[in-house]
Amino acid sequence: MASDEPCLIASKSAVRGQISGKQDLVVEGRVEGRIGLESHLTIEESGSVEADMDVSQVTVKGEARGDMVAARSAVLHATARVAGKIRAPQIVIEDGAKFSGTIEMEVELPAGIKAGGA
Amino acid sequence: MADKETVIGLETRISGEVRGEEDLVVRGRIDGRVQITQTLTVEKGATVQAEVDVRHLVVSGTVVGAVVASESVKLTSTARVVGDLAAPRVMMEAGAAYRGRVDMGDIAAARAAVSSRAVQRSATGEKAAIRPAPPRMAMAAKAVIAGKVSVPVAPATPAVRQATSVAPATGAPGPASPPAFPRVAGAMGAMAPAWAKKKIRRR
Amino acid sequence: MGNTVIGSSIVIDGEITGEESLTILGTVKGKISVAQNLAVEAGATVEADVEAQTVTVSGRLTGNVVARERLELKPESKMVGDAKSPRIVIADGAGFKGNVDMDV
Repeated sequence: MASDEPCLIASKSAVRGQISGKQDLVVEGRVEGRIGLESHLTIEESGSVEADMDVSQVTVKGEARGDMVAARSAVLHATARVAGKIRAPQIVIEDGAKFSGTIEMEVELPAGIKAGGA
Repeated sequence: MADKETVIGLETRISGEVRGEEDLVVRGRIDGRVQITQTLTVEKGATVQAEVDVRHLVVSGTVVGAVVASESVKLTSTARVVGDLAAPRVMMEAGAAYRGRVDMGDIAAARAAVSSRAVQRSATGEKAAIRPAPPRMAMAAKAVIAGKVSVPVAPATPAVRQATSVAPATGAPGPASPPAFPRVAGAMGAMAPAWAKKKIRRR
Repeated sequence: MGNTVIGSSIVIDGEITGEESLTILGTVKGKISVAQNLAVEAGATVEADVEAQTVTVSGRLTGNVVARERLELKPESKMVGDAKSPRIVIADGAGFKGNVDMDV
């Protein structure tokens, strides 16, 4: 997947619009709009993304806001500040990360336990 | 005497409300409501289907219900959790499965939302009641009685005085029918989506 | 040991059922049904109908007790309620008010 050098939005750069591709993407600056990748999105500590994200993997160390769909995994590092919705088969939230919003995963409950109401 | 850890064993199930000011470890099952000022640990294989209000929550088993933790929530790799979480610190390990809304902001509001639901429930009278058993009495020769025995309030008194010689009473019926215990229904209420109001700081 | 212990600051309102032993140091109101032993320790308060293999009371128990094997009220214990068990031991110093039924 990660064919070449990862694509980098450097810290003093901003992108408004849609980013799509098969290459890994590292955001140190700012992105607003939509990100659709068949690869790994990394939002560095200085990075800020306000977008709907549809990626294979996402690693957040900075700020993100929007709907986040990761086909494989989403990792929120301790410095992450995230608001919105996350959907992924595997989600890691480190101690210190701030997240507000909704998480959607498949949850297999034991027999006889219904998720509808406690 | 206070320093035994509270454990709900593997084969034990509680339906109702658990409150306390110490750590609680669940290996079995709790249905209802848990309010603990310390740490609630739900071990692998254990199930808590309840509204949870604690300081710390550590889940390796299953939790279904709204959770408010004043300090932290940790979902380990085997956790299976469905329900809204409100806590200033939320940790999730790889492998944990979770569905619901996470709020790391306004814990007080989330707690108020949870407890107002509890108030509504108790107002509808879903409370455990202890029913007195019908009076009945018999005593056989094997009895060992020493000390203050003040017997009984009920009309069946005389039998006790003949205690050592009397044959077992016939037809003693079974115990009083069990009291109803509180059953917790109620949907997981909506917490105010605090994140929705927040704006990401711009640099 | 996989047994259940209810600590001294814990209050349970509801029903406890189990296949193992239960030790109560705190407060339980409602109903208790365990396959093994129930110990109501000193300082504990139980307001519940109780069913267990053996029941040992050192604290306070209000409610009807069915102990399939044995009921023991320790010194300083207080029990109010009907007791049903094939073997009942009430120690010197125990307080008991209720009916006793040993036809089990």
